[in-house]
Amino acid sequence: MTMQIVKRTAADYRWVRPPEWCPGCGHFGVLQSLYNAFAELNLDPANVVLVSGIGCSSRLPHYVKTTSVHAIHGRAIPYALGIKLANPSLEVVVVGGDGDLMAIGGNHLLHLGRRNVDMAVILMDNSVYGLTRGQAGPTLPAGVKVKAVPKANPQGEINPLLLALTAGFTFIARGYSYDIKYTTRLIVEAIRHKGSAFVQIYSPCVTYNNVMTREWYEKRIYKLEEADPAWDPVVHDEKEVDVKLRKALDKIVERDRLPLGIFYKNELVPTFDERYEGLYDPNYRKLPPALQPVEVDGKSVVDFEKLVADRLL
Amino acid sequence: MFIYGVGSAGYYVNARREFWSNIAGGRHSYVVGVISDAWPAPAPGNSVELALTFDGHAVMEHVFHLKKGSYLVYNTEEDSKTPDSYVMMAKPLAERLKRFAKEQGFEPTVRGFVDYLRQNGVEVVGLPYNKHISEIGRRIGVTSPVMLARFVNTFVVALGAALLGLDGEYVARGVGFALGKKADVIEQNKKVAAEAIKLVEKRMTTLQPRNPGVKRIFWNGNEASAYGKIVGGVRLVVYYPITPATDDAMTFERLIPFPVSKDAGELAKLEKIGAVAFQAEDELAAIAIATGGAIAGARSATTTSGPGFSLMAEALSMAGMMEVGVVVTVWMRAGPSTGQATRQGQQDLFYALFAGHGEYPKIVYASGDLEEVFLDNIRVANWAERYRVPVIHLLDKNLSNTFAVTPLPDPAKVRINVERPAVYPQTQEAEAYPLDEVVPPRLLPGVSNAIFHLDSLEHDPEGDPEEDPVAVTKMFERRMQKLGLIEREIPPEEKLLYFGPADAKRVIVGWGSTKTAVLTALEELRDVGFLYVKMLYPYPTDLVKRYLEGRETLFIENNYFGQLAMVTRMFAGIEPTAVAVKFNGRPITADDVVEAYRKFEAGQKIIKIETDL
Repeated sequence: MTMQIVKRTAADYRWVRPPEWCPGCGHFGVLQSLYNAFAELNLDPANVVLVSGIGCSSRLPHYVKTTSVHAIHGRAIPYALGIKLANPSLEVVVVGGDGDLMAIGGNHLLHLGRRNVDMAVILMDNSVYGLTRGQAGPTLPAGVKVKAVPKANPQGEINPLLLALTAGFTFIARGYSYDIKYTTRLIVEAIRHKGSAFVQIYSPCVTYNNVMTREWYEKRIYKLEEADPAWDPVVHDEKEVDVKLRKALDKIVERDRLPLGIFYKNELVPTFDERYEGLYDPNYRKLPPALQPVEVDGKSVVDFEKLVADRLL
Repeated sequence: MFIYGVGSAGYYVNARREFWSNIAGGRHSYVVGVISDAWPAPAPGNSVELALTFDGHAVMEHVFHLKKGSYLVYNTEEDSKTPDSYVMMAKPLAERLKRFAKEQGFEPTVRGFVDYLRQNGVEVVGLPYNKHISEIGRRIGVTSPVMLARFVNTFVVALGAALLGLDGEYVARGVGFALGKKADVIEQNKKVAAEAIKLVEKRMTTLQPRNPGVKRIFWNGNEASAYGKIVGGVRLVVYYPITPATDDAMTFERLIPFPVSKDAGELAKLEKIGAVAFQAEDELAAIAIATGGAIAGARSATTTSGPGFSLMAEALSMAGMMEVGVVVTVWMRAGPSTGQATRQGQQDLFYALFAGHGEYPKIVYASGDLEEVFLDNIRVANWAERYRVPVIHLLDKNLSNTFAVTPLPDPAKVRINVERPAVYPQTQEAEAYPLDEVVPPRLLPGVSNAIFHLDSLEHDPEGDPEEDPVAVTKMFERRMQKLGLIEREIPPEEKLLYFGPADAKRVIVGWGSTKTAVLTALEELRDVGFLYVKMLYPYPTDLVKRYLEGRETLFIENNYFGQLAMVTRMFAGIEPTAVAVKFNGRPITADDVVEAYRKFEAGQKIIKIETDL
C-alpha cells in the first residue's frame, strides 16, 4: 500500500465563506496566521477541531476549512476539552476573544492550565466587546475610556499571561496580529507543544478600541529574543522550573513596553493523557472513549456479572 | 451490614437511607421495608416494627413511629438524657418532644419516653451497650476505647438479628461485606456479633435461611445508575460534586477499567477496557465537556442535582441546536435553591421540561426503581445517540439512597443500538445538517474523514450562520421533526405502564420513585388503577388520554404544585380530580398512598401529606 503524501498550502484551509470582520480588523491577521500554521504543520483538516465561543473572534472557525464547533459564550474550552478527552488523537484548537476566554469563560481557562491537556488556546485580545458594540473587555486597563462607553473604565484589567502562568499552562506566548509571520510561528509552536498552550495575540479592534490601536501597540511591542539574544524560555531540566518561571514572570508583568514571543515552555510536566493512562486506563490513548466499540450484536462488551461481582448475593 | 446480612440469608429487602445535610455528627437512619421472600419486597411504610437505635436521640426521634407490638432496642446508658442533651437534634423536634412529655405528665428523658412506649404496648429491649461492649472487648482482647466504640454498629445489628431469629452466620456475612478487607477487624466484629446475639432471648420471628434460587444483587440507586451507564456504553462521565448525584459518577470512576465480556468480539482480547470519569470545575463546564465528548463520538453523560442542573440550562439548549446527544442524569432533591440537599423531592419536572431558552427537541425520562434506573440508563444512552438531542434522565434522592437486595437484572433486556458514523473514503467537506434527513448523518471528527461545521447559531446545512427566513423555517422544522420521530419510534410500554384492573373507575397517577410506594399500596387498595408515567417529554398525550379519560384521577407527587397533574392538564387536556402532595423532604410511602387514597375516596381534592419517617 502506498501512502499518498499531501502537502497542503494555506489556501487549502480557506472555507468558502469570506470573513465578515470590519476592514482592517486585527482578526484577519490571526486568521491568516492560523491558515499558515495549519499548512506548515500539514494538518488533515478532518482531524482538526477548531472550537470557539461567542464574539467577533469566535466567528473565525466559519472561515476555516477544518472541522469546527462554534459553541456558546464562554464555554469554548470545556467543549474543546470534552472532544480532546474523548479522542486525544484529534488536534484541538480553541480561539476566542478576551470577553469570551477571560470574562465569562475565565474559570475554564484557569482550570485547563492545571490539567495540562494537550491543546492550544488562542486569545484574540482587543480589550473590547466588538459584537455588542464596544463595551469594555476584561483586558482593558482601568482609567482608559474607549469610544462606545461614556466614562473611563472603573474596573482594572486582567493580565492574561499572568493568569495563564499561575494556572499552570506549560506554554505561554504572545503575538501581534499584524505581524503574521511571527504569529504563525507562535501558533505552530503552540500546536506542537505537548501540553496546554496559551497564546495571547494582540488583535486591535479598529471600530471600538480607539485607544489601543495599531499605532499604540507598535510603539510598545518588542520581541523577547531580539531584545535578549540569549532568551531561552524552555525548561530543559526540572531544576530550572523556578528560574524559568521567574524570568517569564518578569517579562509578563512589563507594562510600559509589551514583549512578544514565547515566555515559557515546559514539556517535562506530564500531560493529562499521560497521567490518566498511568492512573486509570493503560489503553487510554489506544482506545479512548470515542473510539471504543460498545456492543456486539446489541449486547454490551462489558461483563455485567464481573462488574458487580462484589455486590452479588 | 444489616441489609446485606438479611439478604445473605436468602431474603429480599427494600430500604432507604435518611441523613442530615450537615458536616459531621448528624444522624443517619436506614428505613427498612418488610423483609420478604419474594420480589418486589414492599416499600417502607410510616410505622416501625423494629427500631434498632444507637442513642437516645434516635429513640426520641422515632417515638411516634413505634406502635403497639413493635420492638425497640436501645441503650439504657442514655436513660437520663433529654432532648436538650443532643446538640444535633432539630430544635423544633426537641420542643415537640418536651411539650408532648409535659402534656402526658412524664419527664422528657429517654427513660421517660421508653416507659411511655412500654405502657403503649411496645416491647422494649434495653441494654447498657458500652458495658456489654467493654466486657466483650476484654474477652477478645480489645480495650482501646476508640476500637470499642467502633463495635457498636455490629453490636446493635446483632441484637436485631437475634430478635429476628437470624443465625449469627448471616450477621458475620454482613460484617464481612460492610467492613471490607481488614481481616483482623472482621474477625473481631464477628466475635462481637456472636456474643451480642446471646444477650437477647426474645424473638419477634425466626428468619430461616432460604435459597431464593436466583442470582441477586445488593445495590443502591446511584450504583444502579453507574452500572447502567457502563453496560450501556457510556465512556465519558463528567461531574461536579453535588449530593445526591456524586456517587453515580464516583461508582463509574471506581470501576474503571471495566471487565470485558468474552463475547465482545475483537475487544475480548483485552481483559479490561477504559473510560474517562472527569471532575469538572463547575456544572457549566461539566455539561459542556460531556457534550464535547459526544461530539467526538463517545457516549457521554453528566450527573448532577438541582443547583447544578440550573447551571446547565444554556448548554442544554445548545445541544438541542447543535444536535448533539448528551445525557444529563438529574438526581432531584428537595429545593428550591440549596433546599434540603440530602432529602427527597420531585420538584424539578417543570424545570426539566422547560430548561434552556428557545424551542428545541429533547427527551425527559424518569425511572422509578433500581432495575429501571439500571436499564433506563442504557435506554437514554441509546436515545441520545439515535436522536442527537439532550436527554434528561430524572432520578431522585429517594432512588439514590434506596438500598435493596433484588434479583439481578438482565442487561440484555435493553438492546444497545449503535448509530454507525458516516465514513468517507478520503477527506472531504460534508453537510452537518442536510435538510432531507430528520436526524443528520453521524459525522465524527477524525473518524468520518469529513470536514464539517457545528454551530450554536441558526445555521445553513453546512453549519454556518444563516438568518434567511425561508432557510430558517426549513432548518427549524427539520430539527423539530425529531419530536415526532421520537414519539413514533419509542414503544408505548417504555413511555408508561398501567397496573391494576383495566376497568378501574379510579386511577392513581404518578412518576419516578413513588412507583414502589404506589405498587405496595395497590396490594391493599383493590379496584384501583395506577398509571405510571416514564416519558415526560415528548409527553405521551394519546396514551395518557386512553388511560385517564372518563376516570377519576388522583395524582401523587413529591412536590408542592402537583407538577405532573399540571403537565397532564397542559398536554392532554385532562383535569385531575385530586392531587396528593408531599414536600417536606421525605419520600411518599406506601402508607401515605393508602391514606391519600382514602381521602380522595372521601372527596378531598387537595391532599397534603405530612408524615415524617
